[in-house]
Amino acid sequence: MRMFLVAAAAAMLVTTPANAGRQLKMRDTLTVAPDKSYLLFRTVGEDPDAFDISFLRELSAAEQQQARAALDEAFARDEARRARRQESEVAALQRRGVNEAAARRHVAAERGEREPSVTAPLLPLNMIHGPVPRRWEGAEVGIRSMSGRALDRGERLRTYLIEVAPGGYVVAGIAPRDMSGGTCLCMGSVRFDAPAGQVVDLGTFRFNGDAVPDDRRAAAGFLADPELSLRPTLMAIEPSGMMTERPQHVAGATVVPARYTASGRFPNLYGMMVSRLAPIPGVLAYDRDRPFTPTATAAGSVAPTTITASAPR
Amino acid sequence: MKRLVPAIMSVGGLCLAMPAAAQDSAPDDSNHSKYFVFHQANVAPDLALADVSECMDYSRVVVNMRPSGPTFIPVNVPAGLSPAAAGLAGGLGGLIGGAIVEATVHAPQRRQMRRASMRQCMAFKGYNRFGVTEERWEELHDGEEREIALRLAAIASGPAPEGTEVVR
Repeated sequence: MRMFLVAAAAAMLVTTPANAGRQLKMRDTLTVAPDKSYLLFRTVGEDPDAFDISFLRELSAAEQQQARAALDEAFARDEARRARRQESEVAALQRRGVNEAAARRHVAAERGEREPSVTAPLLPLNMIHGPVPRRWEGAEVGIRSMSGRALDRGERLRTYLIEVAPGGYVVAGIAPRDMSGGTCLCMGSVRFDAPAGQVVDLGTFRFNGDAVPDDRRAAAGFLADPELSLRPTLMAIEPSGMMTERPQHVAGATVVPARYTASGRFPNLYGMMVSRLAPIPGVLAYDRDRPFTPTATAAGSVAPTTITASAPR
Repeated sequence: MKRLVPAIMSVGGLCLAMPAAAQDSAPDDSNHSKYFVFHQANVAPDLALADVSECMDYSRVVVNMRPSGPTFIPVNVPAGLSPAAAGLAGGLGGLIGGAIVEATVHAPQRRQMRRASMRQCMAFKGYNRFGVTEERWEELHDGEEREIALRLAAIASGPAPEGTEVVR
């Protein structure tokens, strides 16, 4: 899980949006590029054009190194600026008759309160939750689909195809197009690999009542307030299967179903409402608030898998 | 923001902060969608504090959106654009964070979203919700976050509040 956090948070610090995707429309023809991958998914909901899906891309080792260097540089710059400002404030207090030790204590306390260091963005890389950074250096975060730009559309169904950089991705959140605040799947979601030169079928994304029926929401741990019904607080994924219908656009391409696993929790980096993906049989389950991928045991029950963690820096 | 580290909180501290259970009940107050506390039977005080702290972190919703906050790059944007330009190039739908959201989502909505996030987070952890009066809620939420978390955790892990249990 922490490995994901390193990657996902670091993804926000790459300066060029190299993984910004290209979303195909109905009239477009798919020409598979060997250095690209393609995400195919469907959405089902009462208002199918209302919600965008956001994904975070996990960074390669080289990209993580680059992001780390950028963070270190930002940290050094910020620390130097803070030190200069602090000295200036201490001097000002001394001129007003405050002794140096008291002035330093006062300034340090004040500064810590109102201006957290950019060490903050360094810390969340290895934290399950915590303060969100005050400032971001550079900023590629991820891929966000555009819900109005569908490859195919039915009454309540939309089909999307997005060209992206190959790599590991996490289904990160849902964002309404009216900008009234989205929902972060911070408390549990799934990851998948998007191989180069292939189309990954992510299955069907369902929202709110189409994700979990109203009468089963409370039992599943989700809020059941009518006042929240217009917000995209609930999402479920139905993985693609043998019978899943695919658009003709991908007829000549290699299409593989996404192999989902639990991605673990991550910080509410976007300051949105928090939620988690509905459980997916055999893929995503929750032990209280901990997401895991069930593995079959001899007794037929399921056991949590171990989530790989990187050492805190 | 103050980091809330359960390890440094003593059980004694929790006991000092623990109010009487009866004080937290408010059967006559109907505004429980706004004013409530959480409780779970047989949860250890340090776990309750960790849970409350995490959910407080998680529920800092749109109120904290920053113009310089993280930005999702919409699809169909040429490589090389700055995040802000990319967001604009993608239309309103291209930005998640930033001033646009801040301006669009009004304060009451933000408060509602924050409450909902807190409730959702605690619900995932198995806590039930009990209504309190507005005055009691204000009292519990007065002061710094660490103090607030201590009070809420003490209630969450203490005796079950007498009074109205409301739907999660």
